[in-house]
Amino acid sequence: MKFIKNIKNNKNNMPGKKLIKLIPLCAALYMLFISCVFYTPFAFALENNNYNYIFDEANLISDENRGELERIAGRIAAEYDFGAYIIITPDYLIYGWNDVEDCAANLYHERNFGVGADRNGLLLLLSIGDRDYALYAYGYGNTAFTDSGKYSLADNYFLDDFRENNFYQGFADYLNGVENYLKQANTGMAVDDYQDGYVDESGYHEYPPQPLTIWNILTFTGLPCLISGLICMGMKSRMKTVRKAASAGNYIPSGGFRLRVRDDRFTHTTESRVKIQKEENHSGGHSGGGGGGTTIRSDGGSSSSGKF
Amino acid sequence: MPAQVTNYQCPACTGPLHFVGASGKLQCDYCGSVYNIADIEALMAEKDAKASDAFQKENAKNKQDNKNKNNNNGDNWDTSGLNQNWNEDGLHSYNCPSCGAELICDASTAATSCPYCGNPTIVPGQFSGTLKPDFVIPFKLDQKAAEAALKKHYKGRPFLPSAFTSQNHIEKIQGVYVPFWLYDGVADADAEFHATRSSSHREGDYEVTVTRHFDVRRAGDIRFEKVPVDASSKMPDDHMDSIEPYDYQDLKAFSTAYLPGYLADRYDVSVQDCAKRADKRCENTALRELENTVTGYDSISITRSNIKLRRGKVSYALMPVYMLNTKWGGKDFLFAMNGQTGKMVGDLPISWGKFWLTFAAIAAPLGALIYWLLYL
Repeated sequence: MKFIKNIKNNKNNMPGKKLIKLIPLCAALYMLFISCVFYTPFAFALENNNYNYIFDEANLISDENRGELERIAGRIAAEYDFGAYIIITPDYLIYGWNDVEDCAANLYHERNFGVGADRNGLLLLLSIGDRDYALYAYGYGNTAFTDSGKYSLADNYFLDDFRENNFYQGFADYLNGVENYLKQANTGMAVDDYQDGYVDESGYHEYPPQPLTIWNILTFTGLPCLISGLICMGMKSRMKTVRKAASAGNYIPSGGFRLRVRDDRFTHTTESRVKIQKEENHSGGHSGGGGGGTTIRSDGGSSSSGKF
Repeated sequence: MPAQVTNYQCPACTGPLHFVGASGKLQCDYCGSVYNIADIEALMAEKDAKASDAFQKENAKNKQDNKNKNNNNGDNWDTSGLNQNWNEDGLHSYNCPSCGAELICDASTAATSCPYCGNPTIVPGQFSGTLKPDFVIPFKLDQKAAEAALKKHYKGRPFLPSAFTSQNHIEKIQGVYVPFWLYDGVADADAEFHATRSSSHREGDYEVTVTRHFDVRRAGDIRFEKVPVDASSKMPDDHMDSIEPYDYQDLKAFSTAYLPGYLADRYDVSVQDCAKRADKRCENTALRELENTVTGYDSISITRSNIKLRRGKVSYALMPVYMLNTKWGGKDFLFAMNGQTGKMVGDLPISWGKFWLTFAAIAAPLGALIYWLLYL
């Protein structure tokens, strides 16, 4: 009672008011703690809340390196109004998506990535478990990183590093590539066909012509000859109209065919499984569109993916 | 002695009559009078019968002469080496009823024309007794139609040498009534098939194909009517097969009155010999008909088949065929046209220059396009 009286007596007292204000805060902290314990991805997000662009949920790179990458990404954002994001995850399947590109798109929007009103940005999602990667572009990213541009960025900048498990260097090269591609896109010509050329610090360069191999020669000589030969043989067959008859179908009168037995019996079932190979090009594993523009997804972004 | 051959003469002017396919009537070459087949048949029945009797008697006499020669006992000169008897070479000699000239024909010739006066001549004896055809499909198209069909046949053949059409002239167009056996029968067919039905779906990173297997059996009767096989050894089988089918609605009871103006042969290949070709065709067709009833599957393969043919009636018919032949580049080219439907067949020569030019014209730009797409 004395305690209650003290409270009543001191209801305008400052320390009492502070204590009451602390109760919701404690409840919120408790809830946060429970969430961290029972929801791992959220725990990762919480852990990364000091970072705006680089999210290492697989503890792949050191804090020092991560800070350096964050600094470069911040500079790109300031200079180009463009967010260059990296999410590293032990396995993208933990997010509940079966497709790595869908997963990247979902994370981009779920985490409200992007810079400016158009939410310009490019996300590199690296899944360590199955060695998958995905690039997801949004806003101005769709313009600067075309379908083939995404592949050339991967091929020419970071895939080789990732294949050698040189992850920090790969991420640094990725950010370097993003900056170069943005520079190129700002000239009004985005890198559109990675088979034709590539972009580095000094600008856009065309690839040197591929050397002629025996297979190259066979492709553009043998294949046309085969197609032409088939067409010509088809035309030649029209010169021959005399053949011995092999059937007598013209001489079955109406109602002349009477089916006596019609028996269909199921015997067994067989099952075959073939692993779906993602489409690959000459230098790395990819899936998605080829050169010539950007294929926009239903969510407004564009994506590509592959293995490293 | 009455003549073995006869010709159909115009009752008005005694000029030679010939059958006109377009009208289906007999027309006089001289006065242009037109007669129904039935009318002329009635008028000429007695003349045909006499010629037929004479043919049979002459045949019997020839056989007796041959027997006598073989029994030569030295009292007579042996003239067998002089080969005066045409029968020994499978030939017959007749006297043209119009001009009296000697006609030398094959043993199977039943209708021809005199090389001297050009009048159509019939040998009724070739179609008497057991040799008489049951049916005839009269010619519907004339020689001009055959020439036009040949020109059409040349069109749309990219490798046909230009010189073949410009320099080439058809040496001969001849309307021939070709003897055919028409086989009726029933194929009792029984076959088993292995059939599969597949569906695919995706499970994670895998494409899963589930295939359901079935044993399928079909059995049935397939009736065939009048499967034609040409019964003349002179006619190439593949040409005769290729101009099928004929429209049997035009089948008419045989009469020699349809023959004037055309060549005609009696059969010289037996029913039994020709039956093998008909059997093979019926077996193939029966199996295909059964297979056509196996539906709703993705793949079908035959595992067992048993086809028994129950043979039925065989008819003997004359079918109208135009034979056209020409020579080009030292080779003979033979064309055949169905005289009823106008279907023309015949293999054509190939200009290898045009062939390789076309080959290069397709391959070169295609190669350049592929090179441009891949390397430029």
